[in-house]
Amino acid sequence: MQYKVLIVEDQEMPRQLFEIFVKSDPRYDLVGSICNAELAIDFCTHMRIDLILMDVMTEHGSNGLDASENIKKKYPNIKIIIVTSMPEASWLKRAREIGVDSFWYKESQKDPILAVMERTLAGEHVFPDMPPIVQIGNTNNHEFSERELDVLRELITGDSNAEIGQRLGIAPSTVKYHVQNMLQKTGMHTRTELAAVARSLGIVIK
Amino acid sequence: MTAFYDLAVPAQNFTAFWALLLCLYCIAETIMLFRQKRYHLMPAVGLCFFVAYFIMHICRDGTMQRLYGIGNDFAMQVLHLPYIIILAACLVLTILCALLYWNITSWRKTHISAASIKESMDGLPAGICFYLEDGRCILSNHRMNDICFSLLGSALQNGAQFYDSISTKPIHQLSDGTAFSFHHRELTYRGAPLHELIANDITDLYKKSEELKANNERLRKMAENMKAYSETITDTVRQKEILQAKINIHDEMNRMILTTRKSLIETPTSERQEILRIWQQVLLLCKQSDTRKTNSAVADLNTLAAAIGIRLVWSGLPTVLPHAVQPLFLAAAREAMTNAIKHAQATILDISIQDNCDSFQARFTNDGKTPDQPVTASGGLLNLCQRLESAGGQMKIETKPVFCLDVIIPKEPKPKMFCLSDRRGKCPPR
Repeated sequence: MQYKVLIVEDQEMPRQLFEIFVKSDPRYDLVGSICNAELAIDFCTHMRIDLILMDVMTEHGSNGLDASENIKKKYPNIKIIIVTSMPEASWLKRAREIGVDSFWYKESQKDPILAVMERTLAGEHVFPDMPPIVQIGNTNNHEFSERELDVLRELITGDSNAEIGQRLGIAPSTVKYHVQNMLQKTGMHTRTELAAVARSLGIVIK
Repeated sequence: MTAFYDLAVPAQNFTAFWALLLCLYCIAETIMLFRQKRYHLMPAVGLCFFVAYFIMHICRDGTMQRLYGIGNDFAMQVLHLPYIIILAACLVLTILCALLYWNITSWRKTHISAASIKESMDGLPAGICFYLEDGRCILSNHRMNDICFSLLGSALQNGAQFYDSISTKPIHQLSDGTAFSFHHRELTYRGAPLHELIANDITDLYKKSEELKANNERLRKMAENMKAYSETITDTVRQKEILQAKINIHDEMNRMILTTRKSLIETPTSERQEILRIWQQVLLLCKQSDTRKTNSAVADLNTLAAAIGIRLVWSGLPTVLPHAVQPLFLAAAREAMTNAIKHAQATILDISIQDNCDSFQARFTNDGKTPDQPVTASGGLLNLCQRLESAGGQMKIETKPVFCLDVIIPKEPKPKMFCLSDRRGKCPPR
């Protein structure tokens, strides 16, 4: 039996690469290759899909994790592998929470995607232990605590400590404390610099 | 016993000089007591010393008799008393004077004078002024006078006028950079109203406050920049990744071209044809990629339609559908496609696009069965209608002669800010 595979990836090169991988293996049948995660559920509604390779940030701001959550609610038997190049730690956590089957980092994971697909279809859950290490200033993303990453994620909105504190349920002084800690760790001078660099490296994405 | 008059002249002069000195001291002390509005025995003692000096020095040699013709019999009688009585009288007066001196000194140690109050107020860093109801100043210090001169260009004469002129704003900055905040309150002094005006030096605080304002402004601008940055960063990061991929492909292609050139030289003609074929395939793939990239929404819809068994027939499709328009167009097409299959069992969906000046109009019709009853917007159609209207677009549904979904999508949709209210049911089909 051939597995029906759908690719959701907005970047041309990775998508073509996935298409080549899928087409090269006779066990898989590529039913579609699209840029927008919102359309994935339409495929699942109208035809049989066994496996979806789903990017997180796709065309027109649609989120692969949101789409995966909807698909898993309606079609829990469809296997989903989240593929991303961003080291955003919360995605890995959220992928586990919504019941995604596997998670694969495009650039840093040693296992080939075909091996991950095979293991996922066999019922295994393949998740990396942690996001890839990304250097930021004098430190790396693994040196930040979970709370610091939460604050950093809110920091990129440009909101004040009071607003961030209100959203996270902590005092503005605690937000300030975490920001100071992160500035000290990275050796950066301003919170704007910290937020801009962290966002451009994909350490936090909101 | 020897009379005072019979004593040696130096002894008489010494006694007279002693009386004179103490008389002068008593006069000086009396003036000071008078300024403090204190009534004391000191003038009486001073007068006694003066009388003693007058008798012992002026009347002794008959000067008064000669000059003014007045008799000095009384003086002579006194001078002819035994010297011990004169000396005892002088000694008693001196002791009395000493007791008064001790009394005055003790009082001064436990009391302050008006001058002391003024002096201490002049030393204050704050300006202070007390004035009566009519504005007359009864007490003000140097600092308040300086402030008044600096602000109004004249000395502080009328406290009420000064207060009226500075009460327009709570903080005043002088030309030298110092800043003062003014506080006024009304008091009652001996039953009459009294006004107190205090100018506090808040230069450091003011500077810090100005710095804080500047920092807050800088932070506000930074936050604005950060918000703008966070809105565009997703696209920026994607563009960066695409650029990096292009660089990698460029390098790889360069290497391949060099390898191909080498192979073409070294390999026989028959194999060259195979290499040419592979290159043509690669170039075709690149061309397809470019086409797909410009209209990714259209490409996705074609892929979906092919997969679910419906044919899309396009008319008026622009070469490039603007990026901002694509999400709403995609949503409308999805809805039209889903309804065409689910309700009309259609096999063909006609999509006609018209480029208006500031919007695109898309019309979706299908070859399926026509609805028996008027279509009411609910579920997906209602959501689509709300999305379109919040972006400044429109949606229209016709059921006769065929089912038609007509949408107008602005080329620059309004930004998604917030949901005003639950609009469910307020977007009926027209």
